[in-house]
Amino acid sequence: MATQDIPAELERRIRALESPQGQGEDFDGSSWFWLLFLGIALPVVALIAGWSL
Amino acid sequence: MSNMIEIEADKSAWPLLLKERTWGPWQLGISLATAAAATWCYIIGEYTGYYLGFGQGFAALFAGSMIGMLIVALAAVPVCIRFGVDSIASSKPQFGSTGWIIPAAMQQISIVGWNSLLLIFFAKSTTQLLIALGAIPDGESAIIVPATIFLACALVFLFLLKGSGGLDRIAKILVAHVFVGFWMLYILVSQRWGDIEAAVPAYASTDPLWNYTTGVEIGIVSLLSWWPYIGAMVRMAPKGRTAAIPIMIGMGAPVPLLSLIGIAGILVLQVSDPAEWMRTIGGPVYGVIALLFVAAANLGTAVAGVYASAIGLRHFPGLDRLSWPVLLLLTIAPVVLVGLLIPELFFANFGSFLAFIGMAFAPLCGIQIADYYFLRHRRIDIRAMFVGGEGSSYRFWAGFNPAALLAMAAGCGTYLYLLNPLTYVSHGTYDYTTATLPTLVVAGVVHILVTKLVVKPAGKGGY
Repeated sequence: MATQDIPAELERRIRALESPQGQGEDFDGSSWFWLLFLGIALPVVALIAGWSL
Repeated sequence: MSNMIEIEADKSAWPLLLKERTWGPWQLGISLATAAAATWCYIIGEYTGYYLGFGQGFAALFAGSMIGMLIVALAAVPVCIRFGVDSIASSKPQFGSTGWIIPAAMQQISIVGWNSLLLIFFAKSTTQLLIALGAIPDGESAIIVPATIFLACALVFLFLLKGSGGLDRIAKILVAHVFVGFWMLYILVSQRWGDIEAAVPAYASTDPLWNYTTGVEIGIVSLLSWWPYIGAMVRMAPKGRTAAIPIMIGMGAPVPLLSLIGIAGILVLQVSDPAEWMRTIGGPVYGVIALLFVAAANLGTAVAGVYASAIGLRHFPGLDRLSWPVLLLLTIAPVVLVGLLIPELFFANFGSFLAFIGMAFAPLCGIQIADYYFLRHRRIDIRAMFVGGEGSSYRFWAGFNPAALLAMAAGCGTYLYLLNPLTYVSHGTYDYTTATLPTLVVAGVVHILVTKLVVKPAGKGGY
């Protein structure tokens, strides 16, 4: 357990975020589809198409 | 009272609570697009146009940009979006409760560099246009350039006095400039298509593969520059699901699209500044429109950059309790100094600056991705990110994690071997892999190995 003193408001925020219900949501399946499609599949297509120009 | 605390949280590096994170996908996408679409697109396009023609240049830049955006999204965004923190806080699980000053220093250097570049570009465009219109005599640029930089910095300061609310408001207005940019591109392409097709890149190597790979490399490293910016903005959104497309489309795609302006300009007219070539093509009215576009584009990005930079400074002891206006002044001051004292340095060494970005941020992203997905399996200790005393999970050794430090060194060494940032002389597998991607992989692998061999057995790091 850490020993550093912190402001009360920061403590309140940390407590809220330590609960999974208080956290935002990580990437889900749909996010991963779009990330991989736009970040890998589309660039590969662009590279192949561009090389033949 | 509650509202006051929310406003203050917005100006601090403290994590934001779910109820304070109200940006939807459109709001996030617009803010990210406004941050990404700036004059640097022309300079990025200009550098690509040195090696590649219009079509190949766009393909290489587009591919590189989207790959770079994916890397940044995987590295920083998950932690930022889950806990409402900025990019610097997201690096604490890897670099430690003191070692985060390394990414923080990289963030400050990167944002100061980019903002200086933007504001100098804007000041030069303004001066050239005023001279061309006869509003000022030819020798007055020594006054107009610094005066314009001061004015732009003052506007950025005023916009940000109310925190991210200012960022949101300015983004909604200035996003219109993206469409003006495409109109300018249409003007150039429709009037000079024959010249664009026939143009030969000025510094193209005899090896077409090297040219193509360098175009991809420029795209990747340009988008790695968004690492310092992205956390401060995505932390305003509560869900990865609603952030993925705005990140990739809003922040990733505008750069290669607007860089077409720079590629076309440098190929046909040997100048990437639209304020200059629009005047050549369409006369003073077009020149004024282009200048307004440059002003809007750069102002939006400078606002986002200074905001992210100020939030990053909040992590430093002593600066966490400084008043917001004073912190803003501290953040803007280096930009003013660079813009006034060494304006030509950034223009003359833009390629080296880009390579520095790749050399610094590629290992950082590799370390974050390896740590979050392969070592921690997405488990993050939010308390340890903000309470760094003895006993904290991210204390490591005196606040530094040797695994991340060694991985950074290995990554930087890999980049330097593959591509010399000063001469652009390449070695090894560069032609097939770029310099950034192997750098990212080497840093990630070294981080995993040292963590498994040294850090975890020592019971450090909260793994």
